[in-house]
Amino acid sequence: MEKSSFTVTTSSEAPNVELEVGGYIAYDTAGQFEKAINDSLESCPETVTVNMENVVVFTSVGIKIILKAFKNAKAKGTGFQIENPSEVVKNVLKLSDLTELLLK
Amino acid sequence: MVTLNIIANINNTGEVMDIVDSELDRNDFPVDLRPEILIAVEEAFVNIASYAYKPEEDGYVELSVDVDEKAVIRFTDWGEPFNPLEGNAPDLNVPIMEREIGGLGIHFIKNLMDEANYEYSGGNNILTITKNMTKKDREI
Repeated sequence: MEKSSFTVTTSSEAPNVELEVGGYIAYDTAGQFEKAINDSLESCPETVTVNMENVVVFTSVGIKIILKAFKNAKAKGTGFQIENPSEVVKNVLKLSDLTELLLK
Repeated sequence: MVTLNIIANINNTGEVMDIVDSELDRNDFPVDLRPEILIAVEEAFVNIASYAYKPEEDGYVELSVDVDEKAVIRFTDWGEPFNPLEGNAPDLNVPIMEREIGGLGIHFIKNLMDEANYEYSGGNNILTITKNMTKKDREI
């Protein structure tokens, strides 16, 4: 994996969708992350779960996308949650006071 | 130590992070501390690229990375005097659906780094962020 690359794998098991993301979620890769989340919400699944175990860097642009996704999901009646956060994701969620709201 | 000038354009953020990461790697800086540094670097550079110069200006940032017992990263720009560290902290008590998203970047810098300092000197905005290498250093 390149230093600042981003990876995403989507798996669907109706009525739920899981995204497994890894690498950098930062300014350069934000568009890919946002598109993956928006695509997953499109079919109005019951729940979207974002597995963030392999995320190496997670900046404020990632938080913006997560917050927007949470709001969009809520408007569609879709559950939205994060699971297996890496240490850096845990730290950033804690600093953003989003741990309780988003962690599965 | 590496020092270079880079155009203060938000599209150069990844390049700045790669330069810092390479220097941390070259100096065997602890791997577990690097993500926090890279987050702070992105937040600092994006802030400068967004606010230091007028949109029509091609302003520069001098990036300096000095890694020894500490990682010291210095950003110098020649824009209007502005201390980003004086910005208001985000209000995290606001209900999630009403929360404004701005202000988190500087909040991250202050909390993820061991030191963050700003000075205006000789027409230069100088933002220096520091991460200590060892736990002992971090407790001083």
